[in-house]
Amino acid sequence: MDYIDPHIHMVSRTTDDYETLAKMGCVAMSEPAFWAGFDRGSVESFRDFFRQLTDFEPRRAAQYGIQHFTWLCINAKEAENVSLSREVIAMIPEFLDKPNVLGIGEIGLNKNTRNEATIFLEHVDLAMRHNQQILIHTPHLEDKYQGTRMILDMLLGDSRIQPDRVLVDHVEEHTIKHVLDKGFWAGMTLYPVTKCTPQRAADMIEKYGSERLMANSAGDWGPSKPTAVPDLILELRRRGHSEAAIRQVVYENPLKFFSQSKRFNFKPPV
Amino acid sequence: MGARMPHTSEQILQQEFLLARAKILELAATLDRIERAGGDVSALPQRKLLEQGFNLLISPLADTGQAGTGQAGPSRAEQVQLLFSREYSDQWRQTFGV
Ligand SMILES: [Zn+2]
Repeated sequence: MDYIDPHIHMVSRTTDDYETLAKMGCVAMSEPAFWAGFDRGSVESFRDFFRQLTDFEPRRAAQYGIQHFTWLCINAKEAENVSLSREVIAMIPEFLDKPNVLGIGEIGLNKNTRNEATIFLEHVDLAMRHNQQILIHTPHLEDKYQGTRMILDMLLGDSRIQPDRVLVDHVEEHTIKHVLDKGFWAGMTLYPVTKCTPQRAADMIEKYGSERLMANSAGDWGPSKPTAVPDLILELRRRGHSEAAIRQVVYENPLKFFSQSKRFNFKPPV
Repeated sequence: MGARMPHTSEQILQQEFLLARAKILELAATLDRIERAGGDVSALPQRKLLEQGFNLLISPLADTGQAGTGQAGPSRAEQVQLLFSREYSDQWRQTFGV
């Protein structure tokens, strides 16, 4: 089945992974800017990272017939450094007209601190001033519930926000309803350990329906599996769901959400 | 998703039984391992949280006024998630001054 991975960190993956993803049916992907595993030293480091996301990765993906899109920001972990964050936010507009940029992301919270919240709000303001869509990272483990609620408070506190242009990622059983009820899109991130399994993602689809719901692999530099979306497809088939119903979650929904960005020039495979 | 759950509860029980059994066994062996190492962890917060988690699994959903059917209220998975979560206060913006 053709599918789109709406959240995958290909800068952490090999070219072999692109080939495997293509063989498994991945036709497009979106890659949010994120933490490199260490704190970067300067704004120039982010400028190079954004060049990688807007120039090198789309070319690498295209070799395997995969269309690559991206989102730009300074991530929540490095947002503790407020002055560096402000330099990065001031530099981002240089890249907003690159052909594969869909918006601002993945912004969010990590440990739910005051500095993280401050920089989150400044990113939201940047997105609104430039009419950009937003992709959101919610914290993990014990911080997820509190952080997700805080993020929703900040989004709902800004009257410029259109919820259907915002994707809130890494939802789990205790946060998904809060996100969907407020009209936002929700993304489930499939990890082999500690977070959401394909089985639990399938449970959430059965419980909440597939409207405004997507699944992604994250596929970052930590323990993660870039082919996790096909695992979900398999689990849904095993449970007897129709091909059309599965396709809505893994293909139609990302297409519908991304199509709100004027730079989403997706050409479906013929 | 049209037919939200194509399989019956009995079919699902048959499909999941061995997996659930294996997961219970893993938990039992984990508790054994902790005890076998000696010392007393009964006062540690992690040990207490695990015990609360186990209790959530075996207490009937009716006790919390839920049906577990997705119709209303938190499911077991949601209750377990909330047990392991930091608390949220809607006053946080005032506290932070943002
Ligand atoms: Zn990510």
